[in-house]
Amino acid sequence: MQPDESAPLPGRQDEQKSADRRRFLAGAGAACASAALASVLGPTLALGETRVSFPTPDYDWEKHNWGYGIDATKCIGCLRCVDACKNENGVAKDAHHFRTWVERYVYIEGEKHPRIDSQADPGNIAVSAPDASRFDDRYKDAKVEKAFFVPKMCNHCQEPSCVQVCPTGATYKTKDGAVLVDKSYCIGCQYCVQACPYGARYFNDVERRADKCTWCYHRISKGMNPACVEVCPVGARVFGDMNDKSSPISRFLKDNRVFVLKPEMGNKPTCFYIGIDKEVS
Amino acid sequence: MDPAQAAHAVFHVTPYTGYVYPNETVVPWSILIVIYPYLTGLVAGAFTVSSFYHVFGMERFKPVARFALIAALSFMVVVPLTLLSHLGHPERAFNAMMTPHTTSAMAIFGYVASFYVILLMLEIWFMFREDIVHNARHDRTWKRPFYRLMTLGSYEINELTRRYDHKWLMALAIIGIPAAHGLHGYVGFVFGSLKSREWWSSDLMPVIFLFSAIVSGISVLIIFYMLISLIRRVRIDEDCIKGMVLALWGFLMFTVTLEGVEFFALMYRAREGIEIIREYKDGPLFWRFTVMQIGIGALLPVLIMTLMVYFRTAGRKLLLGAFVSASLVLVSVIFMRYNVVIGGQEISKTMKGLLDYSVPYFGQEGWLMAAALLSTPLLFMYILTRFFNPWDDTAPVRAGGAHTRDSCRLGAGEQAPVSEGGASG
Amino acid sequence: MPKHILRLSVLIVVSLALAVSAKAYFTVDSFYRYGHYRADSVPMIAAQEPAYRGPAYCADCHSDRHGQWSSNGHKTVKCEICHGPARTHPFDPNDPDKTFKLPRPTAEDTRTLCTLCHMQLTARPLRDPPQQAWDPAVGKSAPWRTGISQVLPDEHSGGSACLMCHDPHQPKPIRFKEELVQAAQP
Repeated sequence: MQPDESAPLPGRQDEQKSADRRRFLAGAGAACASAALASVLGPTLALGETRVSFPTPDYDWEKHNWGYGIDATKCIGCLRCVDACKNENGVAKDAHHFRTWVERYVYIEGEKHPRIDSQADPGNIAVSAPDASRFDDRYKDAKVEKAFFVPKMCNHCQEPSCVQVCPTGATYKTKDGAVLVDKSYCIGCQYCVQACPYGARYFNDVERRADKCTWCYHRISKGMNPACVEVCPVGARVFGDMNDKSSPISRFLKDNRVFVLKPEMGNKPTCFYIGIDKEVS
Repeated sequence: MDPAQAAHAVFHVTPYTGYVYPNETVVPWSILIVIYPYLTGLVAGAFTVSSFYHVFGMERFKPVARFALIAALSFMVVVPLTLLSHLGHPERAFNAMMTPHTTSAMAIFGYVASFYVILLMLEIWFMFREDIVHNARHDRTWKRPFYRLMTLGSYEINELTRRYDHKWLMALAIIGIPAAHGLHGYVGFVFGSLKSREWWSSDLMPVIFLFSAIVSGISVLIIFYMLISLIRRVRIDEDCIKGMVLALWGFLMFTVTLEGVEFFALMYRAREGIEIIREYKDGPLFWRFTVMQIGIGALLPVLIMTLMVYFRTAGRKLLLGAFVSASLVLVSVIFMRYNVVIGGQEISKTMKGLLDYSVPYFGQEGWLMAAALLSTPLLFMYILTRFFNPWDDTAPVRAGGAHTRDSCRLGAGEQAPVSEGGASG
Repeated sequence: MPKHILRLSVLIVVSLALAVSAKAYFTVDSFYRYGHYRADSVPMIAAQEPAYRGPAYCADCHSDRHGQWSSNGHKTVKCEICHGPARTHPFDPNDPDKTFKLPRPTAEDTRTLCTLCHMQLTARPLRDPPQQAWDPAVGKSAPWRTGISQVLPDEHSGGSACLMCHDPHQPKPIRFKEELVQAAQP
């Protein structure tokens, strides 16, 4: 029950001593309580001797460190990434559930703040076909000073708030960098939906559990690009292995001065942006 | 997703102004998460009143001290129900107990709450042990087997058992103080520890939750004690009401100050996105926060009670004033829970937009469900008081022949020296 | 010690022991293997079948079209953007005797599909000036035109289908061809 006490290591005499004292002092109740605590905190199991490739025979997650880049200057707001994501991952085809979405920022002459909208905007819902997303042309006659699109998605943070708050361990960060949801273990409390500073999570109303971008883990573990990267016609989305110095993402990071969203949150995103603006959050 | 399947998916879209993330238009936590901290608060507050007598030895709280624990347990039973009804997969809820994530406030809450429930049940058991033994011997109704089970097969009542029971009761009551208040401070932490929302992210959140919990608990006891006494046609102990009014008055002033400090600090700090918080404060929050939570719900009862204390009000006026103040405080606290839980989600994480959430009438997260869950404690309270009579005046005469009014205290019977020790220690 | 205290203590200890063993018993096998999660969920997620197969998959059968498409400016617009995700095409996953057909865009559909990118829209980057940026299509940093050609569809075509003049598989040079329309009829 208590691996730290049963196998003393050299150089850990202090701990051993205190463990001895504890053993000496502990009555039945105390031993039971500490056993309860140890099993609550979770035993750390030793890995098997022979390392097998995990999670699939052809793909070893220890060998990769994925990263994502978004060049907002290239994005044309065609929303093919959004539709591809929904097709690929079975995301509800409405304007309120997204693994990735695109925001439009428009600065109009004489206005202090930009006008921002995305697919959830009633105007865009109105011009979209039931199964295809589209931006409306509302600023056709406005005096626009500056305007751009910003694709958004899960930032697959190095310090993910969602993983921190998940009560069960149904969401976790993989060794290759993706933040995933275990759909058959999630209790659907939506604490992670609250905790994500980027609004990247949503509640899957059909499966009744939290849902989010996986970087198309089923694709990247087969050597493919995520669906959004695959379909982007202008190369605004870049994906690759940061361990590989010649991968698109490594070149993207080397050639550009990149930003992350809301750095003050301390989440350390692995989605890197270029061409965004102070108003983008 | 299969379109036929998608048609079954029910979700409630919230309208918004400004810019919000598209996923935010489906508000994750609704009215059930509003009544969850409300009920937890009542538990902590009721426990506080009971400890005034059981630990701090304040005699005037004696008439409600035993009922307070019964009430606390009745509310506590419903707390997990609110959470379970809110879950997407209630049947998997035990995952959080099986593999609790130690970094998750919610996982640890499960353990803290379980610990507290067990503690509360033990305390009630010790407090009513003599009644249980008495009823196991003399009860002639269907309840007898339950009493016999609850004796754990020991009918022993003598000086030794009383001394032990008293020690245990005292120890449990003392542990209960940090446990009950830790429990509710923890609920505040569940919200306050989230950095994603400026409205929640505050170090004061646990403290504010705790103090609003205490005032709500005192208020609910004032109301229940008066109503039950009316129903039972017994005299209301005026001194007890006076004590509770004084406690409510003091704690309420402290709570209002804390809420004010927190709010002004947030406004004064004026971090990024303060414009939207200002807009929110002057918009939907004006009625819900300024008028209801602070004005009518808190400042008005403070005023009423200040006048009552100043003029040494007594008699029917005192009872009326106490009842009105307590009712207003309960209203204030439920508005406070609403403003925190729903308010936090109405201010977008973008800090550039506001959502306008409205609670539906029906469905899993509707008013009807909330009303049902809020009234469930009454049922539990009824059942529990059938088994454990918390009221002094009708307590059965025990085998030892102790005077009824003294015999309830800490279950110590006529052992005057022991109960004196308990009061001072 | 009184009997009831002893029995209560035993009850508490037994319940605790039961709870601890229940936890050990009910904890899912692969749980703590790599961290605080179910390791088995990772292969489960990785096992999902891709819906978008990529142009190479289409080229197996439609090599002519693939050749035409891949040799001009529209080569960054992958097949499945307009034709939809291939999934198991041409096979029906539920019934091996049936074929799973992809929706075939009609001439009228081109007005919807082409305008997704080519409609003049505020915030859509204009064609110039070129910028120095990473170009995955070229495989190195290259002068990259930030935008694409944009039109006001009604003024540009007077309401007729884009296909009347432009072959989506080879948009330039402009070819005014009836057979394109014919070919697109279902």
